[in-house]
Amino acid sequence: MTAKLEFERVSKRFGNRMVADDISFTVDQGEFFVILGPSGEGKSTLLRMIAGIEPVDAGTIRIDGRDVTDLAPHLRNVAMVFQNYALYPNMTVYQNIAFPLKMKFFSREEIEPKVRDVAKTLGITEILDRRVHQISGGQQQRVALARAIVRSPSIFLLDEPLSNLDARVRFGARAELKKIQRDLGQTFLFVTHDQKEAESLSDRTGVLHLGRFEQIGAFHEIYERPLSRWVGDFVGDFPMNFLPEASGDGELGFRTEWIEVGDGPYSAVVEVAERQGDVVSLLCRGPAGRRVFMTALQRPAVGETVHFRLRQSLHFAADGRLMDGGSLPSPPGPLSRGVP
Amino acid sequence: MIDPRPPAATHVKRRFTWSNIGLYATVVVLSIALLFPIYLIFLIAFVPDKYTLFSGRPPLIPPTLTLANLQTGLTLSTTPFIPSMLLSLEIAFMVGGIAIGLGIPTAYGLSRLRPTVAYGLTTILFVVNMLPSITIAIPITVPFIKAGLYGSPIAIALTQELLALPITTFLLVGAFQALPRDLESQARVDGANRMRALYGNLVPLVRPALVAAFLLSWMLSWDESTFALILYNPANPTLPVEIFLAFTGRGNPDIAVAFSFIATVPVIILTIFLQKYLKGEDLAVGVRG
Amino acid sequence: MDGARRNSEAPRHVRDFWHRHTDQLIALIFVAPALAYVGYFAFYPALDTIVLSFQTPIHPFTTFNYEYNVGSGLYTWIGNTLWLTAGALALQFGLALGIASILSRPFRGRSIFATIAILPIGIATVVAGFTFSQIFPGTGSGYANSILEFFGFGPYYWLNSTSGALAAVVIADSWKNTALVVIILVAGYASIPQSLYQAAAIDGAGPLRRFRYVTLPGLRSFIVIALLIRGAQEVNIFQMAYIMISSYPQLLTVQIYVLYETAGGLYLASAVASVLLGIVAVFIVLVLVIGGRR
Repeated sequence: MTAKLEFERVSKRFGNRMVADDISFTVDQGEFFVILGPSGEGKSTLLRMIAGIEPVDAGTIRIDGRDVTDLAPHLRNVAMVFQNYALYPNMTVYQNIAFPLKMKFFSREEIEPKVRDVAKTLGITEILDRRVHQISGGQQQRVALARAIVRSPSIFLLDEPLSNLDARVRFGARAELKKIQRDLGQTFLFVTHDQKEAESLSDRTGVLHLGRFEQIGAFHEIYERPLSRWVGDFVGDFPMNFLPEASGDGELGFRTEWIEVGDGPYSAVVEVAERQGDVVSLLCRGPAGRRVFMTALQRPAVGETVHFRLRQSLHFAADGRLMDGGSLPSPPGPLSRGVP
Repeated sequence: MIDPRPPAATHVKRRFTWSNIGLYATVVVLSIALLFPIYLIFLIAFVPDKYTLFSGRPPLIPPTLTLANLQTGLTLSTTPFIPSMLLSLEIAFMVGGIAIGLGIPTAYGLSRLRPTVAYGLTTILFVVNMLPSITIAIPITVPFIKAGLYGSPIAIALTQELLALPITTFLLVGAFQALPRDLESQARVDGANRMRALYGNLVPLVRPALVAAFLLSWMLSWDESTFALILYNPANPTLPVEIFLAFTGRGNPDIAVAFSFIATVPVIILTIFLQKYLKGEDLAVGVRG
Repeated sequence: MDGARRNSEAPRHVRDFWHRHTDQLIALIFVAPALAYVGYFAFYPALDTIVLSFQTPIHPFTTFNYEYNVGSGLYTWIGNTLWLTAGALALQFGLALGIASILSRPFRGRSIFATIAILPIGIATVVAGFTFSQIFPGTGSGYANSILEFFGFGPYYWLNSTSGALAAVVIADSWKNTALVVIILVAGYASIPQSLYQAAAIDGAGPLRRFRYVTLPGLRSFIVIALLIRGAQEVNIFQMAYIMISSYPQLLTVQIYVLYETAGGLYLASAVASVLLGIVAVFIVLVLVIGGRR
């Protein structure tokens, strides 16, 4: 029952902003695909177009090969979990979960075992009779998930479903979500602006910027080898560091892990030092006034100068693209940044 | 209806300050002024008319009470009063029903349209409210006569609806806009087409506004007399028209007295009821939006 | 990335207007019935009236009706109507500001007072008209005079002068309609955050200045809306006036009715009705202009 998703040259404009700019990509069956990007740049819109609640300006969306672009949302057999869960306030938890089945005109006898089954899987059997406002945020999230799972959709769409949870709860919820997806074997499309979520959950991640995918691939690949300066800067707990290249042609980019502190041709002045767990994070001012993020085991004094060298680095051209970087997921359109 | 969020001090201290006395004094004076005409309605109904309508110096405190006025009025009227009341009731329920029936889809559409378009359309409805009833009433008799509906309840209801629809839409748009944005999307993704999502998921959540809108429309119709007058069927006028005709000389004033009393009592009850449903915030949403 | 490359070589399918704006168009469809209703039952008859006003049984297009009405005193009617409107608005807004201000604070019996304040809305206009004509009758009797006598003043013959008669109607109409303004202003008060008052008080503003610098600006849009709604309704006042003062002093709406009930007066009535429509149109234009500025 799980499906493949294809985007063919999909575009959408809001006013004079392209929130989707000639996007083409594919999500395979059973894949956990994360759309990662800054807030407000069109991630949710992509999801809404797949669900059918946002009309498409150009292009085609296919689910399992079937063109659904003009299909009404209630006929698409996708499930969606919104950021605020959108639970029906005047219904009990049971009725919320049963709702999609009711829409398909299942009888009460058919609905009951399905709902109980899902409730058991998610551990919410005890709250089935409660009303939505009587349960906690974490429980609400599970109810929203249960409602999505119960109808065996072909694709799951999740719009930042973890961002409303307390930080502590989030970690457990994340792990649980991954496990559920593995057990179900379903195609999950997950939108977030949070790096950690992308890293821990995704099979592949697509980094969305200004309506285009700057890069699609396994998270660690994107992290280690960003195809554009922007991706390097955006992805990762720390942004990539950049120094002007010696011959003046573009920049050198390097991750904090590629810095060896001690001796070396480069030096920087410590501005901020913060202990986080068992490492100290440093923000330093380096050559050409660039900021450099590093980590160290001991805490240097503010104002101290550190020397370092680079174990490896990537060379970025002046226009931001990675040199000898290969090709990007979407071919350049008039509005792209010219990456080949 | 009038229940704005009380400011910081939620409990009232019984302090004998000048401002407190001033406040209470004003409230009392205003209340007396506001209730006086209603007091008069009862007075005129239950006091023999030589002390009220036909008196050179009508006393404010009644010397005696009587039921004679009501009896005369109800029996003497050339058109019996029960059909009048039933007609008014019938029309009022029609107006209320149409207001809700037409108002829900209109308010839903307005709440989903782009703000500029929605604002323009709302303005059109708003403007309709400002058109003089009498200007519209005169030419509108023609199509009704042609359709053979002149004087019929549905004709009166359809014209009175012009007064009810704008305010109904106003209330309902505010209510729809207050709902969480994703609810409708969720319902549609979950398998409900637009109609099912609207009537099954959204409408149940705006029930208070629906009740308020229905009551308000009902009361507007019950009270309305211009359209009812121009379109009236002499054999069966509505209650307000009966009062109007009785008083402007074509009948015994006791008729006006009796009908006034009867027309007023249900309304007082309904107004008290309505007070609970309309809160200041609901209207504020519509105004600012 | 393979799928991406293959997908991006497909031809570009630009979707048509209907598909790109499905949501908006469907929302319009939902609004359409109400618009059709309003168009047929309100705007069309209004236009019809204007057309009729330029006709007589003999001529298809003439200004005769207007000239005749001017001869009958059209300008006086307009004057009376405007005076009535101005007086009523002044009274209603003054009272409503006071009442809404009182209702914005907590005190014992506030909800009772709130109910009392909006009770008049429910009273049918004809009933109120009838009652107030007992308060302000044409003779020297009536309850108003009873009250005046109680305080030692002589009887006043309300309906003998234009100003007296109009005053009576203003009071009667305001009794009923102040409540509407109160409702709107109460909503306005509710929208002003308490913190603004607290900040002003800390900054040294006493109650009068807080009213001027916090309350009034906050209420501005509400006052404007209420003024325009009530203004147009006030100009359209009919039943109340006709019951209380019949056709003296003449108001536009009453004249329309009187002419309509006269044989052959349909066209004359339409002319006056069109004039009335014109005055209301001024209010409507104000709504659009001021609303647009917001």
